[in-house]
Amino acid sequence: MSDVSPLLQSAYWIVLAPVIAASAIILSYLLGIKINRTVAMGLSVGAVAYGFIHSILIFLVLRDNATPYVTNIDWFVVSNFKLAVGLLVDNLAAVMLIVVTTVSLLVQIYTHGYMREDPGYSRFYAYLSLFTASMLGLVVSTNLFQMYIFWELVGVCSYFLIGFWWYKPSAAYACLKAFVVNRVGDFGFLVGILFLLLATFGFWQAHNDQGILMFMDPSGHGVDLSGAIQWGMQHGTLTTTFLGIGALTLISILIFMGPMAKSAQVPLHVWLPDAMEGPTPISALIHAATMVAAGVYMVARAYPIWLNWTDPLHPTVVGAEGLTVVAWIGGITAFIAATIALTQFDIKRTLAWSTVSQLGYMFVGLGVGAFTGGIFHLFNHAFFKAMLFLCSGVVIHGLHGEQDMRNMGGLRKPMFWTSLCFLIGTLSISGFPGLSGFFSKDEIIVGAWDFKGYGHEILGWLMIFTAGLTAFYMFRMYLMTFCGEYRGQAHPHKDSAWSPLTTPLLVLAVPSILSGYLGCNLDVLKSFSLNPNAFSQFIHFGQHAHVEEPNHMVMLISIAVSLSGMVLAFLVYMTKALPINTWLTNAAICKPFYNLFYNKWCFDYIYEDIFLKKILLPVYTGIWNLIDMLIIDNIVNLNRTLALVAAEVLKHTENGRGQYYAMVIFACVAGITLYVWLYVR
Amino acid sequence: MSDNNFILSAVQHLWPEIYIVIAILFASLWNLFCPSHKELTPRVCLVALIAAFIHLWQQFGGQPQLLFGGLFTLDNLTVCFGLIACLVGIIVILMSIGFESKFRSNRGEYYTVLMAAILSVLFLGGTTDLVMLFVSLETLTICCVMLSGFMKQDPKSNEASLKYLLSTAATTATFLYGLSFFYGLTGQTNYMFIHQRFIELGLTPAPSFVLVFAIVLVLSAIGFKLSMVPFHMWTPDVYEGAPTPVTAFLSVGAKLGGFAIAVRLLWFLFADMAFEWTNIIGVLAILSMIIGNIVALSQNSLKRMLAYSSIAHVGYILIGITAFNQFNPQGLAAVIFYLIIYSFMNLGAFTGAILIGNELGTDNINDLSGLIRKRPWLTLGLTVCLLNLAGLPIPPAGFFAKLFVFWAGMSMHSTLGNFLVGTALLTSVPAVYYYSRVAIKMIVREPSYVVNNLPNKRIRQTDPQNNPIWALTISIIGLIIGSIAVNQLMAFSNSSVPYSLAQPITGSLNRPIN
Repeated sequence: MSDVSPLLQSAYWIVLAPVIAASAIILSYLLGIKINRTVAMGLSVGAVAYGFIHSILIFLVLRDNATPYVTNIDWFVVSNFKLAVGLLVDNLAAVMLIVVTTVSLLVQIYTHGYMREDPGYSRFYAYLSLFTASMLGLVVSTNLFQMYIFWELVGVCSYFLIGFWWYKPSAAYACLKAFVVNRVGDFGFLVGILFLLLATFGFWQAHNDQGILMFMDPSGHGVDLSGAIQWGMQHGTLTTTFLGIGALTLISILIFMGPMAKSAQVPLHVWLPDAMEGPTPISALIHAATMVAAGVYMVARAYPIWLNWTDPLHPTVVGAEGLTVVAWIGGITAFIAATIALTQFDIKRTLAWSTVSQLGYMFVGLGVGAFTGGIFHLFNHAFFKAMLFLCSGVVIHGLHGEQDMRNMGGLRKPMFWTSLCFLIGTLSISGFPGLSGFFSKDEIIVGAWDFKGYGHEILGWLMIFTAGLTAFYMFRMYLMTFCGEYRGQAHPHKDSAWSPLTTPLLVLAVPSILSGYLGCNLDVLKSFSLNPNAFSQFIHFGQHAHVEEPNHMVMLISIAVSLSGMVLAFLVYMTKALPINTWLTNAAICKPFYNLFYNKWCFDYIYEDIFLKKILLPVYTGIWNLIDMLIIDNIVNLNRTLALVAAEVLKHTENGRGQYYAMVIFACVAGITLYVWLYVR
Repeated sequence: MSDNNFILSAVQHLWPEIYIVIAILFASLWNLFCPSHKELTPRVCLVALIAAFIHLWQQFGGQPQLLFGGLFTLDNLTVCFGLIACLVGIIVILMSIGFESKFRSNRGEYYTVLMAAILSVLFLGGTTDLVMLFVSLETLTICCVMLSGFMKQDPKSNEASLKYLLSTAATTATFLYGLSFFYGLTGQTNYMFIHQRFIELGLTPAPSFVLVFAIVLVLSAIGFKLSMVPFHMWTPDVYEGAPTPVTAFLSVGAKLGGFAIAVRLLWFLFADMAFEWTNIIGVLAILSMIIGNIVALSQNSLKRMLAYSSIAHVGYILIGITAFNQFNPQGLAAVIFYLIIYSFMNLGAFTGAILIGNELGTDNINDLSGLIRKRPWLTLGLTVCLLNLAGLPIPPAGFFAKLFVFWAGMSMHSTLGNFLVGTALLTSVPAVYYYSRVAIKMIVREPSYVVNNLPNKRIRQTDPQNNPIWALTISIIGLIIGSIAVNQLMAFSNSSVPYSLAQPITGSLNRPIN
């Protein structure tokens, strides 16, 4: 391993730098030293800026075909069970490092402008750094357990940040909701990991030098997840079935519950829109670009778990039940979230629903086997969605906290740069040809089209239709916010190109336009050759770079659908030529649908009013009262009885309690001696 | 070789103890001569403890030595117990600052007595002679009696002190009685000689009735110090009546001394008679776990809950002691690991109780509802400590500590071991409930009346809470380090185990007799 670049070996500093920054800020707070706000910001931004530069350098090293670097140290060892923590820098991790550090850096600069007047400014930077560190730690994890630990840490930071304005009841409620929903998902995740560990424990014991549940084996002996699953299939531990479901499928679905909660997939998506109660930089960093993508990253990282292993040596995507579940959950989420986004009026929540929908796209990409496409969409989406959120932040900030789009409009004039960036983001997410979102979304749609699993006839069409919906609701947002007449009361601030609020937007606009070209090979477009493009060559699962065969038909259809979505939005909201929305809200046929979408498909109602209040709480209180009655009361009574008995005895012997204690001690000594002498010996 | 040289060469190795003695002298005199600068006393004590800690740290890993002709053994185990004792001392002193105003004019003495107690724990760690053992143990006991009565205005505190005194008198009697049997049987006071004589007399591995009786007598004293069931009767009353920092010390520091005696005695004297004492301790451990956890379940006062749960924790630690023998030295390593982590989490929890008591004037669990709205750091710190005590992996230090101990119990491969671990797992369920109940109350529930009346921010400069907050912070940092460096800490614990009686020890066993 002499030729390993020191840049890769020192990658742990990327994680440690924000930890140090956060600890410094927290310690100074505890010590009571009032540090300057600029110092707090400088520490935090400096740490992530260092991480950004280091990540870029790592990317450059790995692009020149450097071998990925894996190192482990023992964390917890009991006889033949070994948990390790370590550092894994490969191509997939490098891409995520760049995404996380770039967005985090720009969001932290933006935060300086956005939170300037907030009394919790320094605290906010401490949390941001802590979050960034946890997220980066998740990215470079070498095994599933380590990833689970950082997964939880990221979650904890997320709760802190959602509840940053904890004195607002809605924020406290959103924080609690995120916590509870994520517990449900993480419980499944943990149980899945433990099942997987149980089923493959013999394998890890036989190769005890590294640790368990490794993603990648640096020595090349295949001591990694795919090796373990291969072992499990051969030894029959993973081929047993429960209720007709294969053990591996069950494990893959259980583990997928984690991403379902963290990446807000139906039915565990309900927390994400409420999480918008947090400050907007948080929405951009955590709930749009990085943390919610952790689920996608985890599935990509542990991809062998979801593959079809009927032939243990050559796993395939085709007919893999686990992946089919992933694809369908993603597809349904993408559709449901898009329909909800059509009807919302809160600018941030609409964006949140759009995030849920786009995350669904990524899972469809992974689920149908378009591995590169899924990751590529994650990469592109991080930039333009972070930018869109930051734009909405500028708007909200400029309108003194107004979030309702019905009170906006015509903001293009005072907020020219913001509206420009928002337009770029809108075009990109809608799949307008030539912008980044187009390339990755097209790859996913083509993948869905070629999908061979269950329900493949529908999934491709569903994705294309959802793309049309996406274009419609995004343009609806853009038009309602920035075009037409201003409908609000507050006087909007003007933005300028060089404020800490706007500059990050303009910087993010560059990758929003251009990052797609990393994954575009013009030769592929021209001919039907299967030349892999730059992105898929860099990121690939298995031996060869994987690329979707371009399907011009599908591409043309999806472009047409997107464009018609845009045109429709223009006609409805700009020229008001089509009074569709008044018709929709009033016509008898459409009204139920509109209400369904507007009420977010009633998930919240079902969970809270029916499941929680009608079922869970009564059962819980019932059981609890029973326990209270049967056990706790008895213990209390017993205590009282014992005390009473003791008091009675004491009254009769007329001794002080001290003497009673001495008597007990002597009696016990005598008793124990007799017991030992008579029985134990 | 003159006497002086003999003592001087031994004293060279006792610098940590000397630092503490200097602090004791300073604390007892300073407040007499300079009552206007009272706040200096705890600082000097802290510095002495830190110096002792650093010195001990350097001694770790050195060649084992017999000092004073075998009165005191300096090996890794001694140093390890010393390090934990210093750590406990540092945290307890930090949490006492601000509380000691309740002691009125006795502030200086408080630190004197506390430091003397810590000193005796240091000595207990290395004692290998019956005389030394008795002197150190009684120093510790008398210090503890005095400390629990330090709030002279409070009848509860007085009652605690008196009860402690009376019941400790009983166990001192049994203890001394037991020791006299050892001496009478063997004519020796040094552990190694006693052990040799046991072999010569044919008393080991098959002890006579008298020896069994003596072992039980000694165990009763150990059990009293550790507040094992059935020698626990004094615990709740004393813990509740004593000033809270003292309770914290009693629950960790005094127990450290008890464990030091147990390990040394059981290791050196009764190693070959494992069957006798593992059974006694095993049964008592099971009783402690059950009674400690169940009674803690029904407590409404935070302090009383912690007191009862500390009985249960002794039960968990005793699993490691039971599992520990020549073939399974892991047991002792697990005990040391548990003790380190337990010191942090239990002291952290008690610090939380002190902070809450100082501000709210109550430690009723129901009054803590919604505390996070007013004191987020305190709440989070206390929550972390409580969840670790419950053995939940947030962060995983407490979880690992339990895991190691249970693992040691399982590796006994005996019915007793399985039964012990089974009981521990079962009794962990109520433990998780009563610990997390406090956490949930503080975080989720609406603020109680008392919490609502708290000022929003404390005034930083003049606040007596500053130092206890530090004690809490140190505990949390300790837990986090313990969670990250599990493997290193376990290696440290492992190297503290005296693996064999026959390991080379320098120094002579014979005392020069004038």
